[in-house]
Amino acid sequence: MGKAVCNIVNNIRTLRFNHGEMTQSELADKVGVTRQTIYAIEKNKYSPSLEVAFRIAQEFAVSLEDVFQYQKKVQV
Amino acid sequence: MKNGFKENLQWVTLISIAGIYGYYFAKVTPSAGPDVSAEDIVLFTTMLVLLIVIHIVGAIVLISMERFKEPLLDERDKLINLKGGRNASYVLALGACVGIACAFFLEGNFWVMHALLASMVLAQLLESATQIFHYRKGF
Repeated sequence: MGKAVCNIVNNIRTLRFNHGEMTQSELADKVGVTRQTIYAIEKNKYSPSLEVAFRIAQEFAVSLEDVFQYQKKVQV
Repeated sequence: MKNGFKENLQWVTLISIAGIYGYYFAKVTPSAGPDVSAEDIVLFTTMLVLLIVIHIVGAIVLISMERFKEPLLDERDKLINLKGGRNASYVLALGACVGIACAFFLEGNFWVMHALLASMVLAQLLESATQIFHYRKGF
């Protein structure tokens, strides 16, 4: 039986593209985190706090679920 | 991707502490007596001042390279900092036990002082290495 791995994925790269090719630095400035944190979130290396997640969604004027999705993967 | 301020600062810490205290221990341990000598204290003080200067200069250089709009620390930095601090605390606790054992079983203060110093150095190295690992790997 495989090991269950919970993962939060996101559409930030697509949303940035759809918002006039917004750069990671621009988004980081608007959200109030470092560019490295935006990079880590985009690469699914870091799950942000609820506050930062809401600020990102607010920046793109979409709901939280449009930015972040919860996925349950099974590793074999 | 360009490293962030905190990750670069950890590299400065890791390399400078490893170099400076590596040199210090290589100098003082071969000629170890029962007690800490005056030369050991002079060398220790010199190394400490050198370390402080390297850290201040390193931090100033790194800050000058950052854009002013970007926060130097955010929530991810604080979490990574906590993980590093937790690992460092294990080494410090172990070092305290070794220091107590040295006080019980060895003559003089040399090994007590250096066991405690070594644990502080190793704890800082582990803290920096842990932070760099998490900056690279993510969590």
